[in-house]
Amino acid sequence: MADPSKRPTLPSRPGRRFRDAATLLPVVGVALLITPVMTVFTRADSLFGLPTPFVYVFSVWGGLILLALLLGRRALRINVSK
Amino acid sequence: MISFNVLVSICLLYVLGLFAVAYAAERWAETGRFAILRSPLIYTLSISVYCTAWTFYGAVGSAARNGLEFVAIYLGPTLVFVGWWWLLHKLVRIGRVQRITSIADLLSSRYGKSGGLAVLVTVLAVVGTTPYIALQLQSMTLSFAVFTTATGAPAPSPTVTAFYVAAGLAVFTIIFGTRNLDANERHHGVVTAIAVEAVVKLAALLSVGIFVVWGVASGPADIFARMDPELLQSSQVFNTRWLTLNFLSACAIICLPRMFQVIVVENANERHLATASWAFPLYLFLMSLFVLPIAIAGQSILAPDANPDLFVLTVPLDQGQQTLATLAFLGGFSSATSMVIVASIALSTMMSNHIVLPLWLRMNASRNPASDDVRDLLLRSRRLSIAVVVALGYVYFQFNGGTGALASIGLIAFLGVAQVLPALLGGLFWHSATRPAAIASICTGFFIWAYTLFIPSFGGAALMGPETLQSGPFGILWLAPQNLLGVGITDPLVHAVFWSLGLNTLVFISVSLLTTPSAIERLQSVQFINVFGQVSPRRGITRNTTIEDLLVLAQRILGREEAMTLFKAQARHQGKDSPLPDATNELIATLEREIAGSVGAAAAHAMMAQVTGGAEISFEDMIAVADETAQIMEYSARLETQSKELEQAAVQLRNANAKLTELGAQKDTFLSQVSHELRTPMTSIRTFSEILQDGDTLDPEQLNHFATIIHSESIRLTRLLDDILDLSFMENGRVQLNLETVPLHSIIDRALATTQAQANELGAVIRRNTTAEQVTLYTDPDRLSQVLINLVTNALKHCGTTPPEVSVLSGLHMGKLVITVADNGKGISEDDIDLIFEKFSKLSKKFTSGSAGLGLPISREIVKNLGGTLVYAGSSKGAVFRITLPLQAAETPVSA
Repeated sequence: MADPSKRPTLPSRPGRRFRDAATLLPVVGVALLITPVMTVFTRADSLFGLPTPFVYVFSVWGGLILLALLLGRRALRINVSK
Repeated sequence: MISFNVLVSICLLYVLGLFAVAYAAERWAETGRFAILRSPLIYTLSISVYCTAWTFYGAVGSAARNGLEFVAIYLGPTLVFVGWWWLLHKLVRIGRVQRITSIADLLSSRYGKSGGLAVLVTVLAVVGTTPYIALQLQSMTLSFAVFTTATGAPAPSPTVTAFYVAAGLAVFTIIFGTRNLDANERHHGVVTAIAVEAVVKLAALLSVGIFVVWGVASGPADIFARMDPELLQSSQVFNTRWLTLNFLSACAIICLPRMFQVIVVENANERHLATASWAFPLYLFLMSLFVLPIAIAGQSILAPDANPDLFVLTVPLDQGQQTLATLAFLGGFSSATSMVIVASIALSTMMSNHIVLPLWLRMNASRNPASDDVRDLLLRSRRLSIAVVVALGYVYFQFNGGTGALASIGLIAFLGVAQVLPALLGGLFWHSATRPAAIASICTGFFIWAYTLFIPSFGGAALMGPETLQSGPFGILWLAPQNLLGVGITDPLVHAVFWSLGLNTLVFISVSLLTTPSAIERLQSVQFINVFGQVSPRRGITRNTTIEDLLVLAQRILGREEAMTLFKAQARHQGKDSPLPDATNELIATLEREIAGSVGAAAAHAMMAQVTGGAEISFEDMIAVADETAQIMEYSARLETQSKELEQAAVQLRNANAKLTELGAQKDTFLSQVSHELRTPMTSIRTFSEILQDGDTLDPEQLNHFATIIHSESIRLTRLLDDILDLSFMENGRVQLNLETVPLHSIIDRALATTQAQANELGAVIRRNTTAEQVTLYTDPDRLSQVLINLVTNALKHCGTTPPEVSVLSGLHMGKLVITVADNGKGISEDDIDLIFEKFSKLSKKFTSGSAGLGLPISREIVKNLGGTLVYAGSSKGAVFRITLPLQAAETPVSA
């Protein structure tokens, strides 16, 4: 939802996109890691000789870290401390 | 085999190394080289104090027993950090703005700088942390024991080992944790040492992991092939316990006193949080990557009765890897020491700020001694507190150590400190949260936690017998500690989380809704919740104090030199030459915040109150602040109105100026036209008078003729000047009107009589409607007949047809008298309609002498002065002019 009253000016756009993404990331993490969603992805017992839950949990975890890295660098660029 | 003595030497060397690092860091800080100490890397590594010996050794044990469950302890913090934008950012900002020194300080500051709440949270933190410290001591003694049993060498008993370790840790912490009383409560030396320890434990665990996967086994697939299939079943990873553990660990990363210390209090720059948001999860990721392989290796190669909690040590030892085992030992040692150090610093800050200092203040409330240095008191009480905290842990270890009970204390402690979470979140996001609600909710949660989880964890000890556990106190079944109301949650941890946090939150919300926040709570709630919006410092309230009193107070807490520096800076800020600033509200607020950085908000507030004489911000003060704000707002509204009025005035002035310019231009045009009109008769008069001057040869007849011309031209000139005068008078509204009540027909009679000669000459026909003329009106008859004469003359002159027909008709319309003068000519062309009422306009050069084009403008002005209008009404049959006049006095016909 766009909130026009918050910051209607143009330059805030990258900031807003960053905020949206930063807000969404933990939600995605929660959905993938601590809801029954994870049982959907871990039906098979084994993947490349490794147990599926192990592979699933660690890949999602790694993915979250990677996205957080991209967002974190972006946060530094748009100067979050303002 | 490494002997026990060698191991002790390695430990001592390691600790010496830490001393060196901490000392160097303190020196760097003193010389201002903060860049190295205050990097996001150091910040991130210091947060890894989350990984204690319990996680270092215990994670492998947990993995050996419950498969992937151990990951939940790391996933919760990962999600909190990845979502730093939600909570951590705000927490860190508040910590920086409000100079928060601990989690107890945060809550007390938010809920009206309440001393009671701070004490409550401090007690909770001590109760929750003491067993945790005992757990660290236990894991260290156990790891020592592993080496001594492996070598068979004589070794001191676990009690003695634990004592030395505890004493050593206390000394280290006292030396580097209480070196100075920093206004920001930051400890460069300790944090740097913790960062080094973080590297050691990560390196140790990674080394053991890599050795297990590629040294013991031949790769990841091989190691997992050795796994007991029961250990990791796909369907069993997600369950309520998984959910609960994730939630608990997420709470713990915020609420644990040591985590709050490193994340919020030791934070030097908010930007570091952006780096830690991915780097700390990465650290946790690496820490847990090899946990499962090590557990599998331990299960497959060691004896079935081997303690899985020590696999990190025993697997390398079993494989003859002495160096690797020693490194692993150092990793565990690092984990334990860093936890104890940071936890005891955090707890000592809380104890000295929230318990010792308020007590001292109360005892010394009456006197205000300048010589008593609060700094000394605080430093001494901190040192003592550290010793007490570590001693408590040691005593707990003695009392409860060695039993299996201690192993599960990690999660129990998590839940204990998590009881502050509802009050914390409410304080950060909810304006209506109140202090009674915070106190009630924490007490409720604390009690239920102790009843359902903490006390039962002692297992058949004195406090709670097994029969009470089974069937409830006094046989009341629905009060059974691990099955309240018979909800039937089998896992005691999940059960305790549900009841304690559930009721905690419920109590918090209901009491908040039932109570009203005090004035100071409201003030603080705005400071906390709107921390990102605020720019102005807290408003102080006028109090009676002298700058000397404030200086004494500041010196007592901040130290002589720091206080003087602060006061000088403030004096400069106020633009004063003397080193002492004025005791303004702003100064008091700044000073209170600075002092809060050392002693906590509640104590700082109390001390300032003692010095400044005002105990609390009263309701009247709030009203005063509100009044002031209202006045400012009113003033600004007035300014706005004034500026609007000025703007309007400027617009009016601009318009007036434009009109004046236009009028000036009109005047110029008028003058040039007048000169032109006057010039023509003047020229002929001059010419003929010159002829008369040298007129010897002229016969009398010619003389007479020329004199006649001069005479008529003079008359024309006079008439022109009269007209101009007339017009100017009328335009200025200065014309003298002789108003009287007259019948209309007499006016028309006069006008037509005057034009009779001209009409006869042209053989014109004049029509009129005498019946309609039988009205009387209140007007100036001379002027009105002048207008009619002008209109009829114009009609006769410019009609153009022979014979001309002019009709002068009158009638009543809408209660007004309407007189029309029409001719039977071609009318006035459309181009000229706009010009006929202009002065000196000569339509199509048809004006004959005697008319300067002033007739119509004058007529129009006359009618205007009489209160009516004169318009050109169109050219249906010829030119039609319409005069509309008010009847004013009477409208009845003269005769029936």
